[in-house]
Amino acid sequence: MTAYVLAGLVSGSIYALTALGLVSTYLSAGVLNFSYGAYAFFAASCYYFLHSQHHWGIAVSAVLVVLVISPLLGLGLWAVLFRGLARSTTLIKVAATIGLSVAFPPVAQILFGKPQVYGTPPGLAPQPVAVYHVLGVAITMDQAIVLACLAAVLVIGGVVLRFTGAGLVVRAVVDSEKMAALTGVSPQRVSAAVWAFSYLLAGLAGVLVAPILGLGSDGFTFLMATAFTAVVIARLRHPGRAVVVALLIGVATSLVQKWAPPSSTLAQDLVPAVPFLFVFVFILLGSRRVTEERGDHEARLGAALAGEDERHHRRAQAAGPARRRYLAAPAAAGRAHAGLIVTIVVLAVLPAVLNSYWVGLVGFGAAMGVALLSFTLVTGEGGLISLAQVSFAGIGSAAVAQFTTVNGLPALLALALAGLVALPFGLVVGLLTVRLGDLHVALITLTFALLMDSLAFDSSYFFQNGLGVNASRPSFAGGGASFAYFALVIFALLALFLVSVRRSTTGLAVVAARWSVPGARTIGLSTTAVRVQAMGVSAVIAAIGGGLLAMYQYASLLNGFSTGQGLVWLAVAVAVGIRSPLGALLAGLAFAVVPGIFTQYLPASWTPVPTLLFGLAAIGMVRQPDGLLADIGGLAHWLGRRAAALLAHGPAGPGGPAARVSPPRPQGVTR
Amino acid sequence: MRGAMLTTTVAAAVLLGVTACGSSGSGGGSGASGPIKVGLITSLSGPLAAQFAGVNNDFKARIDVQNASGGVGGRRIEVFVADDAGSVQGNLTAAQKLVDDDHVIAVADESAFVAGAIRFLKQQGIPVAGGQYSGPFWGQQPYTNMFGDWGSINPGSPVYTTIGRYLKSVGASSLGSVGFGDSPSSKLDASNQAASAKAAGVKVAYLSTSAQIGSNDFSSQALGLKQAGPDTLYSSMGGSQSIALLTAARQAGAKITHSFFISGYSPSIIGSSAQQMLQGADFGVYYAPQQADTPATRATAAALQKYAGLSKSSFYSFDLVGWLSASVIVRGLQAADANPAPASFISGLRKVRGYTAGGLLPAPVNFSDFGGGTTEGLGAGGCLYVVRLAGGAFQVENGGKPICGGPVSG
Repeated sequence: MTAYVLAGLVSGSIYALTALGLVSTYLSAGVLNFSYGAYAFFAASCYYFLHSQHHWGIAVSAVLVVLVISPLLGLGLWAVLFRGLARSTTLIKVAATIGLSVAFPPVAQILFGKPQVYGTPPGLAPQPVAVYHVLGVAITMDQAIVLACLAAVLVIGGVVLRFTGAGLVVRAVVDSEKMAALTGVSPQRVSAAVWAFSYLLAGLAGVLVAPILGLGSDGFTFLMATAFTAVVIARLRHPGRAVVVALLIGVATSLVQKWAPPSSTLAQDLVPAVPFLFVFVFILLGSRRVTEERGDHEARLGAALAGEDERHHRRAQAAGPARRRYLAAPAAAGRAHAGLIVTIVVLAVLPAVLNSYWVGLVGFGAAMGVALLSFTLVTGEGGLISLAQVSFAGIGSAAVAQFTTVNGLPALLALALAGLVALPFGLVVGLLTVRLGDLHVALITLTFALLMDSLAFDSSYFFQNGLGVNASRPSFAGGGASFAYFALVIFALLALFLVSVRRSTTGLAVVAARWSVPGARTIGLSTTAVRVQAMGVSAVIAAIGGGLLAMYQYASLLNGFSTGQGLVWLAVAVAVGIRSPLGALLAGLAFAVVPGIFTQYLPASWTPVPTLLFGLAAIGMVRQPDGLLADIGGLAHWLGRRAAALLAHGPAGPGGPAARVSPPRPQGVTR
Repeated sequence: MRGAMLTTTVAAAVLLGVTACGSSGSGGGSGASGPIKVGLITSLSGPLAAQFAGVNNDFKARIDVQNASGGVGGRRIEVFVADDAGSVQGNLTAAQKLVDDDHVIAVADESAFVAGAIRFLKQQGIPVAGGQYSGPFWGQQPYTNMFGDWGSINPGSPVYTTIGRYLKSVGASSLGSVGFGDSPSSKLDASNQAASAKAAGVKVAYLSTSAQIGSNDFSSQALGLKQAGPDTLYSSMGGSQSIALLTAARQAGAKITHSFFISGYSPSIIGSSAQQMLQGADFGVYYAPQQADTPATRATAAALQKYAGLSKSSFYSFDLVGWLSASVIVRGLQAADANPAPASFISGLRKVRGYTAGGLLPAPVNFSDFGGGTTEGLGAGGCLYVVRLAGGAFQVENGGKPICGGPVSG
């Protein structure tokens, strides 16, 4: 028993270090960094690259990675990204950091290659790792170093925070940034220092955890999610509690492994469920005292999005009557609807002119577009950052396969039923999360997605020894082109449904709840009910998308619906445009076609680049909340005006009419 | 409206332009003249890229050897490679590229994500060669277009005597067998070899099938092994995890004196930090290892040095599956009619008996024996070569011959 507790304390210490880094940046800058696990992976890869592949010494490699590269990167990211995020909406903060998390692994692969690791990647202990026996329990030097690092961080951190001038300044900024500024303290400097310290901890956690997790990026996602659990239970702002909870999770996980029969998959199923169980108990017992500034966050998000609509409306008023007709609020939505119709028409032509490879990708992209359409509703409209959409899609994929292959139902009926199967999942997840606030929705849906990965998607019933379960297409959509048309029709119908919902009383209620929870309540709306409904409907749409993906692949292969993949989905959706169905369709096509282009035309070493681009483009949401679609729209609009001016007046000199058409600003259509 | 129109027109034009480029220059397939087009899908990038590094070069080397000797029927073989980026979706996209765009007539799918493409390739009637990855379809109906590099696997996965008898012969008295819980093949292999050991009279002290792919945290298995006290460890996990398990077990105080790993044999072990830990460990190999020093291994190594850049101081290992898949494809092309097409490839190769990949396989393969031939975790005919790490080199056990066995009776 003692040995298992000790092993659990070691794992828990790494979770604790990660949680400390997360809480510190949340407290000082209001940003919960979703790229933390991905950076830990990056640091571990860098350490392995230096120490194992280039034979640098342990001390030199560790100092360089943990004490130099990590804090410098933290400072750099603060300067170019996080500084601007402090007053952004929760959605933008989450999307930007998820974009970073998507970008770090491909950057690591590009910089450090693809090492084949034999055995355990080295930690900070010299090889062979020394083993000590304490009270009859074997403890390795790596484990001792982990425990020592946590103790050192806690002691040094505690002393610095409580007994030094620097600590006083940090505490002052955390308590009240404005009051601290009045005393001459620069909150920006404090924030920069905290970000550097936070990345130092992430780098340390990465180097320490590599011997346990190996060098696979998925394991680091689990590390981050487990640390998030501790952070959630610590109500985002109590580092001490986060450490205690992290240690408890580590010990609980280890004891599960002790008591579960080794020849069963019970331990394998239960270990990933431990963080979710902690969260579940927290929601049942302690969530009423959650202190996330829900109303404020939501109001700011609503205000930001409404501001976009208002700007378009002003443009409509400034334009002539003819333009006013279609630019009237919500103007962006109207433009997008028109664009959506045109896009669908253009895509309908493509299968006739392309070869079957590209037609297949168009079908795949349309199916992905349906899955990503669920983000349009739940995040774009509802302001809820759900990281479980990929799990709902996986449920749809499994359901379609079961209904068509096991139950022999027609494919169309199976698709509809798949949506219904996912509905209660969406409602329950919504019910558990929406009243807690935006960040909690993101954190808890992330944990839920990991739970689905391990409990459901990896189960032998669905996995079928790697074969998956066959999924049938409708008889009229058996070919590549006909399936592409079928997927486009489904997308069009669901997009139409979303547009009608947006204009309905329910849609207005969703927007009102996004705008201001207190405001919505004063007019008698149950914001919780409205947002739970939005989550439920989005689960239905995601499941239909997942069902289409299963049909495209002729099978339900649930390892394509992992939590990590879901982060890439959100990054793509955000990058292209999360607020309109057109954005979802183009994001789906980008997800399918961009890697296809790289596969077709570029060397294999370029393969990580599309994922990197998706991540970087998601970070671009900081600059342009409406995504690349708005940029392209702005550019096209400017080109159109310029072309019209040229046609009307001909080429003119510097003072001519054509020259007076302003070029697009970086803000695209949101200027 | 005009902005929206322009937006979509620009996007569509880009899409059309890019994809239309892809549609040009293809069509007609291999045809009756010109090179015969074959494809290779592998993970050049993604989470398993390191494991599959070199497969691409070995595949091409085998094709180069064939082309140097006149190709097949006087026609050269042209290779198209597609990266699946380590995902089932990527595997399907890669297969679609090779079939729809490159018009190959046969594909080697050297990836752990082959399940993504098998239905498409079956539907298209394309023959597939590969190292029996990730599922039972290499011997399961209706996937008769799938040809494993060492024959097909019995989907019933019977227990064979092979490894149990070998472990007994090297002095094992009690066994701890560990496999992944989230890999059906690894899980089955760990259970099967425990049963094989039991049938051979070796006590099964510990069986764990709860390890997770991608995790190196074997603290609970290590403590379990220490408690159960086996003298021999069998691991059906990947080489890296097997080494991590052995390391953790020894650090925890488990008295393991002998270990057998179904994978992990690699020149990278020599000189690595794992070399000391692995002294005396046995590794199962599905093909004749270079240390066997037979005419077949010498010829293969020479070809790999000439065409794939294998250094004289190193030796081939897992990457050889690329060579083996190319060998299957070459044999299929030879068995097809004068103008090879997918259908004639499949029907021709299904009649082939006594295939040995030029002497590299431990036993002859009958491709006509679909769904038979071997079982999970073993090579052709239920056989394996065993190599042991001794000092700074690997040596082939059993006098350089493979160990073989049959189904456990009863």
